[in-house]
Amino acid sequence: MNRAVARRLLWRGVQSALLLAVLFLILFPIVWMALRVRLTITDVRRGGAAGRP
Amino acid sequence: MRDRWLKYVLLLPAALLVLGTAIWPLAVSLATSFRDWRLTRSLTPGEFVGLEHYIVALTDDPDFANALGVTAAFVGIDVTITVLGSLGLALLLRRAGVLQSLTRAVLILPFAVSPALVGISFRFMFNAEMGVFTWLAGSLLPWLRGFVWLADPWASLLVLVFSDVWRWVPYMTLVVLGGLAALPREPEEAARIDGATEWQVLRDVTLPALLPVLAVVAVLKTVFALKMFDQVVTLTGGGPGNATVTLAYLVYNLAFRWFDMGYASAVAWILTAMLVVLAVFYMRLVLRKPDA
Repeated sequence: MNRAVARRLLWRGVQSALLLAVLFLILFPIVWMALRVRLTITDVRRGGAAGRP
Repeated sequence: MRDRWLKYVLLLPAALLVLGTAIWPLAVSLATSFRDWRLTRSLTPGEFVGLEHYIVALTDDPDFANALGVTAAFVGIDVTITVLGSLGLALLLRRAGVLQSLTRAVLILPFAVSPALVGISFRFMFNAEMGVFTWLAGSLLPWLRGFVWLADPWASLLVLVFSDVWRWVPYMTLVVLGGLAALPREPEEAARIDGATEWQVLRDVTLPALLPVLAVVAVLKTVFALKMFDQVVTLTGGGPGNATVTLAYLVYNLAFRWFDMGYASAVAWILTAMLVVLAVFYMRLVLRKPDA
């Protein structure tokens, strides 16, 4: 394989890895917040208080 | 004659609205800042003290000096990371692709979340015992295992910056992406044909052309970082000690915890003066003619 092509492929791979990391960092807290709200609602419906801050 | 007055009559409702909701409260707080008014002693403003509150704040108040230092550190770190992060992310997203389209689609989500909720959620995520980010940091960097992020002055400030960067970088990336899309492609293509590497194209062609957009991002973010309040309340509560007490949080404490309305108004006006300078600078940047 041509060295320039290999370098370009490697750079594309690094870019994709960076974007995946960014996607994780953006989405993870949102999913976590949504899950936490769901857990709290379930907990309050059961009459518990464990989900409350 | 009728036409002469009609424009003023039509403008009157809007002018009254601005006068009642913006100018009047500002004028009242400015007048209050020149008076000694502690709500614990009196329900009405007390004696006129002139510039005393301003002089005390700027020369003889360790709390104000601390809040000014914390705000300066917060603004410096926050704006630097936001500008560099949004530029880097925008450059990554410039190319077409599935991953790029997906990321572009979710960029607005963090900005749609309320800052108070961001603070509460990040407080849980950095909890010393069950926080997911505490666990993640401890797993990736063993020397951070068991580290209590919100009990360390600098670490709690960094957590505050992280929560703000999480909320703002995606939004500012959209702004920079807009700036990148507006740039003509010809100069970059000409530089590539002339044998420039991608780094040289970025450094010598793209970045200089993008500088006005980055300046707008920096000034706008500085204004919002100076007003940092919601996440301080819900994430750190100004602690540990007073390590994360920003100027806006100090004003809140002075007015609604210690009920010193006169002094709180003076500190609020010092903050407002900084914001006005930045706002004027921002408007000059935005309204500047391209050939000027």
